[in-house]
Amino acid sequence: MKILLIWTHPVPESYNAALRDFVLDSLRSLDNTEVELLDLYTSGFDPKSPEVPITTDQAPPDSLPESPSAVAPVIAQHRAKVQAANALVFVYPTWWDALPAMLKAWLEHLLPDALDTDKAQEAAKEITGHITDIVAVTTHGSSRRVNFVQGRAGRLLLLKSLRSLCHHSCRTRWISLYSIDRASHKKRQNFLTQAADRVKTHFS
Amino acid sequence: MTQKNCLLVLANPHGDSFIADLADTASAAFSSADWKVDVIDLADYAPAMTIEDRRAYHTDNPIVDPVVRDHADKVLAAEALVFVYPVVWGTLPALLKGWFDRTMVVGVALKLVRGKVRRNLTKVRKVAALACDNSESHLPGTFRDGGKRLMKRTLTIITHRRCKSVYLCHHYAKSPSGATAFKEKASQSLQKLAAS
Repeated sequence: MKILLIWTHPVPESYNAALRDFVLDSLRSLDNTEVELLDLYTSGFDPKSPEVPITTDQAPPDSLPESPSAVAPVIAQHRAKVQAANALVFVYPTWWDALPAMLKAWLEHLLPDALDTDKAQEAAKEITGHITDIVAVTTHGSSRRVNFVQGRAGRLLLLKSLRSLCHHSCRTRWISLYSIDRASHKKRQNFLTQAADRVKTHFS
Repeated sequence: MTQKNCLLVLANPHGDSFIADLADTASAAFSSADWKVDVIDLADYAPAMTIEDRRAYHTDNPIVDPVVRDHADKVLAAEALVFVYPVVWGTLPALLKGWFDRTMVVGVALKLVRGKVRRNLTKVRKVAALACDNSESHLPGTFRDGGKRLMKRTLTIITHRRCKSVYLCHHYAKSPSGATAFKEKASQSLQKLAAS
């Protein structure tokens, strides 16, 4: 099993970095498992770099741009990493009820228009169609109730939309700490080990 | 009577002409109701929260970037917020999501009162969103709200209690010919909102 852990947080000394380390250690302790870490903030990925999307001005492209010159080299590299993995584990903070812009931009560039045209869906499935597990480990500033009212955009994007582009029997797991700003030090500490345990249980 | 301030945030990551048209429509609708319209065009905006942004986030001075400071001041001066964007991956484009991440922080969107989070944009009584969805097919089981929940629910948590909101989304690929009718509808709807 090859697992790609995608970490999205700008600050290396953050709580989220600790969360990443706990999850990483727990994944590395699994048998027959290879784990690769992709840190979006230091990977050279530019959330602004241009892509070829569909707009109202032009017809959708027939396929994803294939030639290396048409795709930013870093995106081509990341596509190869996803193609080589069986499972995707996302560790990120939930901001504004959704993915951080960096992670959202990464999905937009990795699988452009994937939810919009049949062609783009097929092209996306070439990259993610074999993924059998999506695990999201995240923290929320708001409570579970407030998050529910807000619409759970981050959760649904990864566990519904991205899943629909993966293997038909892909399993999903949501591991999340709510109200982190009000949580006690002990609760935060506990969540680190809980998250690590739950990720391990998911894969074993 | 002094003019009221309307802030229009335009996220047009791919330079789509229909999105630009929608921004003009929204701007004209508010201007015709005697509002002063200020536009933030996110064309050259860096959407990802930076390490400096995040380190400052929990301090008393959470905004470090002068561009973000300028945007935040505009938000604080506004009595209406209007967003124009294309739907990407079923929701807001990352460009606009990043604007929320970086601009709408404590001291702008929210304030802390005795350690509790409270709404701060109590001047804002009108929120409008004009979106354009280009999807041709609907993959079953996908999440696709076009940012409606954020515009209609999350923003009402932080704005005035009686804030009115309008969300209009045009499904362009399903009806390209309906684009003109949509602009007309959007114009009327926003004029009504601006005048109310």
